[in-house]
Amino acid sequence: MCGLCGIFGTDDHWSAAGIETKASADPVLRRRHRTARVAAVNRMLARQRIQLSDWQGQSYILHSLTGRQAIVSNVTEVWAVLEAEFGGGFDPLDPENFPEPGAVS
Amino acid sequence: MTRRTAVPITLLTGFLGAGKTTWLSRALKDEAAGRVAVLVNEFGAVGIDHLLVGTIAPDTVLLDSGCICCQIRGELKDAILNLMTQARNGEVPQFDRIVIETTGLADPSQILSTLTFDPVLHNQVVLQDVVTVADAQNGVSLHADQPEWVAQVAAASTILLSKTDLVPQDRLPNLQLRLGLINPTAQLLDAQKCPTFADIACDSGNRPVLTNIRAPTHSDGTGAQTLSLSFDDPLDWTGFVVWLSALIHRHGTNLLRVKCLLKTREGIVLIDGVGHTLHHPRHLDSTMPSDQRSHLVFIGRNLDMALLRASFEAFLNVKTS
Repeated sequence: MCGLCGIFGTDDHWSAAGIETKASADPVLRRRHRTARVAAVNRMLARQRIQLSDWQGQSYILHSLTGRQAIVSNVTEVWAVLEAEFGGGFDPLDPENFPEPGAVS
Repeated sequence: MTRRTAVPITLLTGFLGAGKTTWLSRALKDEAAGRVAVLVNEFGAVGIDHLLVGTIAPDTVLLDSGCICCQIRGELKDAILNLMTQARNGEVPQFDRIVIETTGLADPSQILSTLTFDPVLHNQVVLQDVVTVADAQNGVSLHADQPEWVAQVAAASTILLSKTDLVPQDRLPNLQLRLGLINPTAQLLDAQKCPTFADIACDSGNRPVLTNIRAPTHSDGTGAQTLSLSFDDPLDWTGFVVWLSALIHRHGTNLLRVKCLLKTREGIVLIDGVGHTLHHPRHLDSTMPSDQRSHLVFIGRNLDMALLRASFEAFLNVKTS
């Protein structure tokens, strides 16, 4: 839990599971997983001009170029908040959202 | 302080009249079944099934909220926790396994969601098997039109084909093939041969999974479609998790089942999901029988499987076969 604001850390979500199948207890490894997760989300949202960043290792912040921001707890919430707060969802099956060939390494 | 191990749960589902209670009654008589507590969720104001099972398993509890699985969630949680509390207090006999028999009209995904994500339950119980009883006489012909039936078959880790003695033997291979096409990941057993809890156990660490995939894509007339993907290159685990979360969020209603055996740079991982519910990934023993390829199976309804494949390849940068 964040000591300042009382927000629970929610890395028990399945999307936070590392290869060791649970969110890592090692803080460095956990941070590394979070960074990789943020980068993966941002690659998917590259065409939406919306980006995700880590917030205190507890939550994430979704922000648009116009300054709109929202706090999300896990990766799944990203897609729900995109629909609710940013005026449109993300459909991974829409070819318009597919990355440029070669953009994913 | 010692930490209690999670109690395994077997979810028993199947359409109305398929033979769930019949199989359960037989399985409970098996001496090797161990100490089993049974929760019965029945449709209708007067429950009957718990009386049938209750003569064998005195711990039987009737969940009388009817079949609406969303409404059962609170009651299911309370029933499980009450049962465990009573066992700890010595009010009911100790048990090693819980069997939840759902109504024939239940979509199992909501129940799985309760078991997996409830913050209290998920530390105390672990879902071990989803057993679906499919009626050989009426299953594919009558029940196949019901979305609940397709969802039940798709969610299964084991399908028990019941009433096989009531249909001509030459029809059975076709029935088995159709069930296998809806859910290629489940093991298929004949309920007439009285399979035990040991027979239905789905311990993926001891047997190869997802390697008997029949065809890359298939649609069988029930509305269910399957997409099977295989590839050699190690998968980007984080990228896959992010992609899958987006897919489940947007298309979880139409995505009946996801089962993946993934070869990543760090090891082999099994992913198993039903609808919007995804279980925690399982890291498998690298010595398990495997062809060292990644295999993914998606079972969906009203889902463009060609786009699903294209999306997977585009976002994960892999070429599948």
